[in-house]
Amino acid sequence: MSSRYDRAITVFSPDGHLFQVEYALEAVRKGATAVGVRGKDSIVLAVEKKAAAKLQDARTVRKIVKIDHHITLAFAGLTADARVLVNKARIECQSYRLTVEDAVSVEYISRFIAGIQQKYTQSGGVRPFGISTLIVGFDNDGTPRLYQTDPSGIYSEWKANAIGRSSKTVHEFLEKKYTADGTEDDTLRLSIRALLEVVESGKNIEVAVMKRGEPMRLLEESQIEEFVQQIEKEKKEEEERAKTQRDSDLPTRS
Amino acid sequence: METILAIKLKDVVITLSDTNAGRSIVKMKDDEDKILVLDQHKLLLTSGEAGDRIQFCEYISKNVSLYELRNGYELTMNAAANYIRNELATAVRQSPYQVNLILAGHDSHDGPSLYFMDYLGSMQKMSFTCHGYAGYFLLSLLDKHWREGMSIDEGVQLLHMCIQELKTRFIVNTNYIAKAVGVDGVRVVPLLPAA
Repeated sequence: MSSRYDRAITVFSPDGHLFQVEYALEAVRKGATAVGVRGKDSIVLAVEKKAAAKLQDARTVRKIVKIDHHITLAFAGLTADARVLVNKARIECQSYRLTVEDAVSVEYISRFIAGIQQKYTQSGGVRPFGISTLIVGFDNDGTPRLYQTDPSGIYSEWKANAIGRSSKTVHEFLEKKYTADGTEDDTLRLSIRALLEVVESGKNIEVAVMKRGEPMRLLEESQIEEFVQQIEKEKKEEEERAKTQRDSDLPTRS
Repeated sequence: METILAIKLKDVVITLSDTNAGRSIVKMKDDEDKILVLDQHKLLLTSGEAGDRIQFCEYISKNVSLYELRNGYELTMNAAANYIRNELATAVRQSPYQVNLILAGHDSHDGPSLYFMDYLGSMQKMSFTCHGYAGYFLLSLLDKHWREGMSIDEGVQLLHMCIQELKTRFIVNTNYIAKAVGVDGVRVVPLLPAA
């Protein structure tokens, strides 16, 4: 009789799954890849730039956004859903500053965003947000932090992570190559290299770096290109080494 | 009532405020900074009811920050002034904020500019202005000595003239703090020590 939207869309399946949440995760898997790596004094976010249509102004398609002066967010999934969450997060950051007169910690705002994502899996008439986020920043005591949230409302801290398309591949690469307490250069090189595993070229990458006490800085295309060159060289050297290793393992005629 | 004043010069707006914080006959603090830095190119000087001042200023300051984060650039002076005036005017018919303000700042559109606002929601763009009892003593002085396009040195000289006038004729003895805002941002202007 009444068309009130009080029927839940996300309900349990007989075997304990929340299919809407799982479908939302599928939507995330279709989104452009985003990588985050935490170093000793810097944190890097690198995202795959989807080729903009010829007539489109590329500057208006931003996947790395400022939440507060010391917190940056990158997402993978439905851009419009991200807009809503980012707006809520920005308001919360200022509201927190107003009440408590302190900047939010990275953990707090990650918990806040994750809380909203969870709420939308347990409310009537709404569907879950189709995005996962990587939230980076520095706490008041100067510690760098990287957090990830996903459509189910889970959030956890990471040393390095990837979300979006081919995130599994990138994640495996990060697991192999990550070293703790990286310098800014190390962290940049690792994130760009990780992303290059799944994107076509350095032209399709956008990189942001955060350092303690400094605002978020986007890298110029020329700087990214420099790193790409270094990485190509590194890869070649590694290939040569692997080849000579293989050759020396072969039996030789005495 | 507290003294706050602002003067528009060629490239910057120079502002002055007293540093007194007290209740009735007691001077509780004599180093209070009443010139709030709203963002990189705006100063908000407030005088009035103690609690309302802080409450209103912090609320405005956080909303101005939010605008910058959402849009990637600062509000223009005109927009900020109208936003603040709107908040005051909305509140005046329910529970007025008992604050009188001067918004001083710089943007690429108008250069240096300053706006006078009071608790009833009135607003006026001006070349120089003051709130509080200072007005009785200083407006005529500023009328006589202010010219279009003064340099920063002339501006500081004018400020010292104002301070001297208040020291001579105003019953309240207090220290002052001065800040300037221009295209390069905000800085504290050093004042000569009290004679």
